[in-house]
Amino acid sequence: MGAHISHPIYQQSMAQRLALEAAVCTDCGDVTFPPRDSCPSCGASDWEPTTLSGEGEVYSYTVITPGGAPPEFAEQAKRTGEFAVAVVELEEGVRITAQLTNVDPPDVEVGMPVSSTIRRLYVEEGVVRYGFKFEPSEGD
Amino acid sequence: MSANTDADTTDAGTDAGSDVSAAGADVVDYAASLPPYRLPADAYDAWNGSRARIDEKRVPGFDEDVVTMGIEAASRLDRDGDWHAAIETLALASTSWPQPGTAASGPLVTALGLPTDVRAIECGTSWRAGLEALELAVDGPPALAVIADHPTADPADDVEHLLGAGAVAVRTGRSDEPVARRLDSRHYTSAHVPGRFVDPDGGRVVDLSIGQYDTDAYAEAVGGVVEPLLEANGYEPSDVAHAVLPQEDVKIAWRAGSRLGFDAEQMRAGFVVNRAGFAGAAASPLGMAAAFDAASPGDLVVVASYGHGHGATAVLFEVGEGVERTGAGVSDQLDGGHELSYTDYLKQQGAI
Repeated sequence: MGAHISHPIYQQSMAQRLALEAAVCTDCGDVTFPPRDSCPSCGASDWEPTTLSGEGEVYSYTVITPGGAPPEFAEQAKRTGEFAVAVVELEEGVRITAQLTNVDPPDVEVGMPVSSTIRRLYVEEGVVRYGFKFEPSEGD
Repeated sequence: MSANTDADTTDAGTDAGSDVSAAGADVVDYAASLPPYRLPADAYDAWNGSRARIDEKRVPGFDEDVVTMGIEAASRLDRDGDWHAAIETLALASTSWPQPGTAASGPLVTALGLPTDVRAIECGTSWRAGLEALELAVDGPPALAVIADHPTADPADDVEHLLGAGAVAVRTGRSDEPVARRLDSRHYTSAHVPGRFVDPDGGRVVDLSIGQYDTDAYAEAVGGVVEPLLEANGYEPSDVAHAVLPQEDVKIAWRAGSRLGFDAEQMRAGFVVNRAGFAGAAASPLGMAAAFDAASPGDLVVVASYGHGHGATAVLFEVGEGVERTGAGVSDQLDGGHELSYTDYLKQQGAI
């Protein structure tokens, strides 16, 4: 079964999901997404919020077929068919897992430049949930 | 009806002493976002052809709605200048809210990094809403107007053939080199039985198909704002470079334009319904963006919108030097996109 994300948990991550808010360690300068209480690089616990650029490239990806979609994405898979999920490496060095949109899965390539875009993710208990996906960026 | 002169100079900040700035607020930047999918008119073979008199229309993806389209349009505004934190008014407009009863401005403010104490106002009872939001934005700069719409209807209804989608973002403020300066506006409101409305149960557009009746209502309201707007400012229709009229019916729009004294050349640039479909409250703002794209400094642009029930608003802009440094690229966006088959369209929209 897929993960059920409760409203409070989703709410807690709203700034990450809508504005790519990350943490920059005030000791070593490492950027972490999602933000954590202590820096994974140096262990320091002081950090400040920063907004990621949303620009990066596909580091790795997989294609989800309708039968394999998590329940919250089952309706999407039914309506639009298979979709790609990628690990995207951002300019800041952070790697994020997200869906790719506005691209046919066979056209996805490792190293493809992408940028973040806010999309409807799914509906949970009647509430529309928004979050980031990535799409091929123009002009590269 | 009283004249609306908007002599709002109290928060001018810059441009002190300029005669022109006293006449209205400035469009500092603008952007548009058209959804990625295109449905050509010949896709409507199942209904013996399209009834919309357009070439094609734009269709949002399964993961898009007016909130995401609005965020996309606003994200395309020039990011230089750290202007987001200075925005005092956010005026949103749509007639197809994804979550009625909630503040659509919430996700927009967070996603765009606008201040949480922004004066957020949401317009959306009729297709006039787009210009209502624009009027709020020019009334209280620095402001951001975000207008996104995706009206839908039963695929078995002819009106569905016309309905498209799109989004426009307009940033207002004070500038020595504006994209356009809003000179004036006129409004008309009166009780009139609507020929089109949204079914409250399904959220879908219903068209009573009362052609002549609709034509007369449209002419009364739109004529009632465009003519006095030009007259009061000392202009003839021939002085206008681009006229953008409400485009919910291709034939009615061209007839009305001609009756008001505009020729095809004046109406062409802003007539985006032909390729975008009718984007509800965003239709006239999209036409405005396309007209700004085609305009040169000094050009006059008239933008009008119509709301059934009924009312109309018309706004007069004078294009400034700023139009040379920015653009919404409406025409380029219309040239792009991926074509959908009719069955994929129905499937994606959840209609089958």
